[in-house]
Amino acid sequence: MKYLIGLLIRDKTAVLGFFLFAVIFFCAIGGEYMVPYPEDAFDAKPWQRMLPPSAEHIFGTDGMGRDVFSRLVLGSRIALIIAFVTVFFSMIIGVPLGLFAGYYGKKFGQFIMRLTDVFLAVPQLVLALVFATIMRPSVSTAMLALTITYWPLFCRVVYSETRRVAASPFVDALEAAGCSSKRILFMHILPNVLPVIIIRATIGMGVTILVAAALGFLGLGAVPPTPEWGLMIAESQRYLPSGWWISVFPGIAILITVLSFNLIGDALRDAIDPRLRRSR
Amino acid sequence: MFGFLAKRALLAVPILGGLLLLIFILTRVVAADPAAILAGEMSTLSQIADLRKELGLDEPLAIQFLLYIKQVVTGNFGTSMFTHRAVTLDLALRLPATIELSIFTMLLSIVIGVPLGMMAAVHRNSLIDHGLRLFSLVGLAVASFWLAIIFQLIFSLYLEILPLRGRIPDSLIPPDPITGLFVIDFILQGQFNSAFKAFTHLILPGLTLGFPAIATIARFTRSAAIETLSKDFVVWERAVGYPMRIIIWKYVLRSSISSTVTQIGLLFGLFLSGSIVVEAIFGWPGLGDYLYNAVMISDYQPIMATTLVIGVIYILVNLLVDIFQLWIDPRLSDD
Amino acid sequence: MNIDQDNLLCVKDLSVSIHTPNGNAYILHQVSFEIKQGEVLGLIGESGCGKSTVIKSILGLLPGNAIVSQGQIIFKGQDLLKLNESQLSTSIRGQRVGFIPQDPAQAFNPNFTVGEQILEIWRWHGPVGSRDRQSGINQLIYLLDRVQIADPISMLNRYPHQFSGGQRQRLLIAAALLCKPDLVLADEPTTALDVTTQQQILHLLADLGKEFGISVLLVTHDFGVVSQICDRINIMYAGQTVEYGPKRPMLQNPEHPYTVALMNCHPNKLNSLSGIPGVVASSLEPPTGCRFLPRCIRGLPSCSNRESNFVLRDDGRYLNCTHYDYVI
Repeated sequence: MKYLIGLLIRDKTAVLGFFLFAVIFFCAIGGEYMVPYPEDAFDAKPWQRMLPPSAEHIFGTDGMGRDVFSRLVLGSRIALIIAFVTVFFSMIIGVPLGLFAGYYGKKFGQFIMRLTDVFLAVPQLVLALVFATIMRPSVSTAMLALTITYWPLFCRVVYSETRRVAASPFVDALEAAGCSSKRILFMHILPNVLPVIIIRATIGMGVTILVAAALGFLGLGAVPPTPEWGLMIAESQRYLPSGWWISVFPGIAILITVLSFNLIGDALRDAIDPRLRRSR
Repeated sequence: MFGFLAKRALLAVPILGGLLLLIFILTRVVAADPAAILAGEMSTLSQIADLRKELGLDEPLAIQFLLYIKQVVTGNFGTSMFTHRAVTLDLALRLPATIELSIFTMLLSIVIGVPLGMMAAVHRNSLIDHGLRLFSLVGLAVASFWLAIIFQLIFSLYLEILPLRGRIPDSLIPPDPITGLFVIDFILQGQFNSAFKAFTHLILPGLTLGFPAIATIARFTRSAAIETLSKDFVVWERAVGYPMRIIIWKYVLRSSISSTVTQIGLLFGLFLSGSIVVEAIFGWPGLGDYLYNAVMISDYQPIMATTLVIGVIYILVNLLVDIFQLWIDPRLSDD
Repeated sequence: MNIDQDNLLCVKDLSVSIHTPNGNAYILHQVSFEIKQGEVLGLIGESGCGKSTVIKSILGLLPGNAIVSQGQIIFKGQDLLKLNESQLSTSIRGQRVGFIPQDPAQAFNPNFTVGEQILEIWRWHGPVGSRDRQSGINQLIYLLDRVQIADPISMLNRYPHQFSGGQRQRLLIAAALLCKPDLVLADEPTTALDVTTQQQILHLLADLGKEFGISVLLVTHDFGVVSQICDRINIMYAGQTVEYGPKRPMLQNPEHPYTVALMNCHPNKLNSLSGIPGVVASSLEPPTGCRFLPRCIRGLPSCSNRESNFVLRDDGRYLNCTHYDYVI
């Protein structure tokens, strides 16, 4: 563990990733207490609409007069919640399925794999879109749609890693010693599969935020006046090109957040699993 | 080799079947009143009743599914609320646009990404190398719809060097449809000026759509090239007198391409999903834009049909990638 | 020793060091030898004595952190150490100097046919005026036949993994000789092969060399090999040349203490099988003067101050040892 931390500290991009994440996380938690205009999450102030960035409004105001910076910070909470919840539930579904499919194999394994193949036959956004369209648009709908379309990826990753670990000699030894398969699976195989799960979860957070923002942009996730980043960009379109700040800053927020997850994921990948280490 | 391919192709069939089933379940089973949903929000009660009979919604589920398959196979995807045409017709009209954009984006990504990656590998730790690493990190973190807007702001509205929307300028008449790809069709008809104009319309959407692809391709090419450059046969090639540029651009490139090819299937998936927003923002009349419009007004028939078509395309592309990989690396075919 | 006009290659006082995180490794120290036209020179020494580094120096393939602190490599009147990469790759490698690597498994790029790769050499280094592909193919087919590759024409379209180690080594010999270089550097070309194949390959190499008038620098650690096909030999220890000259007198009557000890280790000697006591000094902190001093039974204190000095003996060999410095 200490080795891990030491490794991570030496890696500059990892530090950057953690730092960025910390900033976003802080924003998400702090939320209303941090921003200059917390009421701007929902209140419109038409008398100050479309103000360019200034001292009072560092990112300017949008078409409804709301402070862009405040809404961005408030939106970080939504983004992180969607990401955490989606990845969490994808893991709850995908990891056990992947473990069982990979270890017990044969019919059950094949069936699960075909199932994931079907879900993965269509790109995630497209499928999530179909799900979200059927239901009423809301943040919960987005999370549900995203979870349903992300668990297969988790499942596949866990499946192949489980199969790899299950093929190693020490598992054979455990089986020969008469260890119960449930024990082998959870006490021996799972810890070895864990690194891959962690890495996939981290990268998954970033991916989820991008797809969630896309759903928001399409109006299938958060509804106005929620300060969701994708939604903000969608709304900003009618004020272009003059109100460029309304579009630019939310996008940068998305960029920074996803970047932080990608950097952390990369650093974890290099630290935890040297086999996967590509020349950086 | 063909045996392996046949097996792969055969696997695609149950996946397609599963996809059909999934979509069927969504449209008929999950939705509260499928007929009402499929008929659309603006339909009358009698229209809904008619549709219910047509879809056989009173029949048992299994029969419904068979009916559905029959519909799909005969190309009956229903009617679009928006265009009031058969969805099949809409799809046929819009498919070439998406194909043109996808092909262009794929080529653009490779043409930019591969040399970038190779140069970064050859000049390690230089400015190019660090710049590339930064770019590849950022490239995978941008939301494509946002990037589309940014590009429009910079290149169309501020610098005014590239067109804002559409496949061709409003003043131009589309070419006769030979391949369906405007640039090629214009060239085939000898209208080179128009072909050039159509080409400029491809640039921004292609760049936007391909941004993450360029980043990924460059990154993978770089790793593969670095690994190849340290291999012993490169030492031998230098020792027997191969010029360095031949070593890099002919021999190392070929070994590095394989890793890129593995990515192509994945990247195409990104293109397909990215095209929804990119086509919409750039007014590119393809499948993505069609899907976008359908989603905006909850037009279910087109949504389901387009999803199915996208799924089929994706599966096909992955199959093609497998074939290509076998051709590139002859060692695989001997197994 | 003089830089003679009829020497094809003359290496004089070559000293190479490599800069590592642990300090400078002095790989070669004042290595000297000559190769004449049409002869086979054996470069002998234990593993790690710097033989491969000598080859890399000639071809200009030293790693980036290597420094040539002194010396010259005169090839046909030109000092190779003064040439830049472009000049080396255009006119020397593949064209005037050929190369046969140690491990045939590491030579070819697996994604291209062997024909394509060998003909690539012809494309850049074939004789001016007939550098076209067909001439190259003709020449290559002829060579493949001489190296006893069966059915050469269809072999050209095969991939490297479809050949055995011995076959690949023959292909590499053909590749090295393709453009009729003046000199071929063979870096332990038979180490990775079985004993029978070794014999075949080596004799093949020597015969072809004689036939085309090509000189061969054969790096090896096997005296048996040397006694069979070399004309002259150069014995190295820890990066220094200890003696070099005609093979017969040197093998029959070794004079340098290291050579003597080495011959005693040779398994052919039935009476006593002995090693040489001590270990090779690390190249990071080499002894000054003669590097064999710590293990030399005839060593004198003055040996540690000695610069390399090659004395010409009347049997034609050059000897680098205090005891012979003043002997006529």
